[in-house]
Amino acid sequence: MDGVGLVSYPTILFHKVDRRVSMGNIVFARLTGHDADMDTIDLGNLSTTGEETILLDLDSCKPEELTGHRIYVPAILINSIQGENVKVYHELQQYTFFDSVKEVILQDRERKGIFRLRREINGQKNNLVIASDLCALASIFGTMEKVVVRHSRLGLEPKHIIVMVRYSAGTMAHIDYTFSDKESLALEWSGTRRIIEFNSEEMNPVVPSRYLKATVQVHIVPIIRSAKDFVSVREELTSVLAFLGGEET
Amino acid sequence: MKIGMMSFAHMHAYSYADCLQNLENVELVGIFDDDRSRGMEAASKYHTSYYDDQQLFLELEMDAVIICSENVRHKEMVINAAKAGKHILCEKPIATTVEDAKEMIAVCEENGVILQIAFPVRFSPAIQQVKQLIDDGELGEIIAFRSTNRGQNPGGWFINREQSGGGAVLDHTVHMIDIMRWYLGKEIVNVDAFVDSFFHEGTIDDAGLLTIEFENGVIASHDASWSRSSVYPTWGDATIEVIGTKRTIKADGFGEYFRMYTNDSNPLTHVFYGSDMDAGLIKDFVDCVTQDRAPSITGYDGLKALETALDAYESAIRATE
Repeated sequence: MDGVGLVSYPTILFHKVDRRVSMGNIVFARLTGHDADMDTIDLGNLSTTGEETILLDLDSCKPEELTGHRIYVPAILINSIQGENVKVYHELQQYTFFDSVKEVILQDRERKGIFRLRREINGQKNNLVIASDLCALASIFGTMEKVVVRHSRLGLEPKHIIVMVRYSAGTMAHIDYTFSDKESLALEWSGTRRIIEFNSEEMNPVVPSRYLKATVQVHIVPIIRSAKDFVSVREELTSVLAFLGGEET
Repeated sequence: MKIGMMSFAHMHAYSYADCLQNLENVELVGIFDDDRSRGMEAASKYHTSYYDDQQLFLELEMDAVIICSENVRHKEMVINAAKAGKHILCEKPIATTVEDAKEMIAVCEENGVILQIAFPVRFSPAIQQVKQLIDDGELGEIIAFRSTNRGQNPGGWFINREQSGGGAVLDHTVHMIDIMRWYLGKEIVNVDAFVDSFFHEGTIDDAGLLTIEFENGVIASHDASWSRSSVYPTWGDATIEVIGTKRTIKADGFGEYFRMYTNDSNPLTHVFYGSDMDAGLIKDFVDCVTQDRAPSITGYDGLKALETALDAYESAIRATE
């Protein structure tokens, strides 16, 4: 991935944005709150465009202040910003392992099988996180036919949510979320021709893991490539949120 | 102590017989099996007598029987053994209907014999350690479970609904439901499920996902599928993740293995070296009988696990309506 901004998950590139720079890509991503070292990396230019691209943590500044740039925000910020220059992406789709898994599953003519996704999210319970993931999964498994959602008891922490989905093409899926102070992601696909297993806690090339920036990394090119205009993502999310009982958390 | 075995239709019978042979003061006095060839072969293997007549077999002087027949025959064999005054270890699922299970439990009570259900996962050291941690309060209050019991399609009578009563969902729901009930001491109040047949040519279910709610609000997701192919490194799994208010912990009943790579059609194999949970089950049953104590896994436990599997099938039917 020459010329691509490959940034470890907890990395913050610039804490402040120079609003005088010429039109550029400003990518907001969920960077903080992860259990790894933090540092600063100069991204350089995207070789494909020659334009400057800046990666910012969600909390580093308000997206609506950044006029004159193309703004890329994760779907969980859909309510924070809108405009012609705003593109929205689903976090799951920017992970390169997810892209690879998707490619392999799509090689099979049939989608019959069992998909299981397990996420521990460092943050507060947020139905938009789930809705965004379901939108990303729809790009593999198609239309959701039936959804069952179960929430853990009120008043207990961490919050846990189980989403069970039946897709029209046959796939059945279980997606389990725990909203706590930890970040991890595991998925399994049991198809008729192949079984795929991924666990961010195991796919770690550096041990002890505290020396690794992160096992799940933020990649800018997939974000820019997969991001869609605000209105279409808003429609996608609204449709999925209806299955989840709305944005209410 | 003298024990007999009724049917070797279920492959676990061989493991249980091996376990009996490893116990001191336990004698395998005979094997009854409708399948003459299978029964005689087993009797020869375990150096005991073969019986093709169930009544004659039950007249033998013995304390207990282990029943490993096809699921639909559990009821008949349990009731006959109970009426003959034999204590019983019955392979799971206890039965194929709730009514049959209740009748079996009642007959055993009337005849004063032990009815224990074969849930060997309870004897996995990893599963037991989590139970201890829960009881000690190390996990805090339990919030949710995430479990799997996946395996290869066993074929044979397992995929004949008339003999098995159900496919993967019946076969692979009951173990982990029993573990969750054991951990919590609470009952299930709601089951939602998707059930289908993906991985083989037949119509019996081989794929099932269950979403469960307990009476105290604990929620659980469970994968009960025959989704492991013949080239998968191991036959399957029995895993559980427990999400508590203090911490989350995972246990894998078959997690003690080393990886072996070979130059054949199954290039990677997980070679299990851990404790034999079947041995724990059989020893517990023998202790139960010799010490005249209540079984650690009761017929009622078997009934509640069965109910959940049957509720899953009903939920899946409703989901398609």
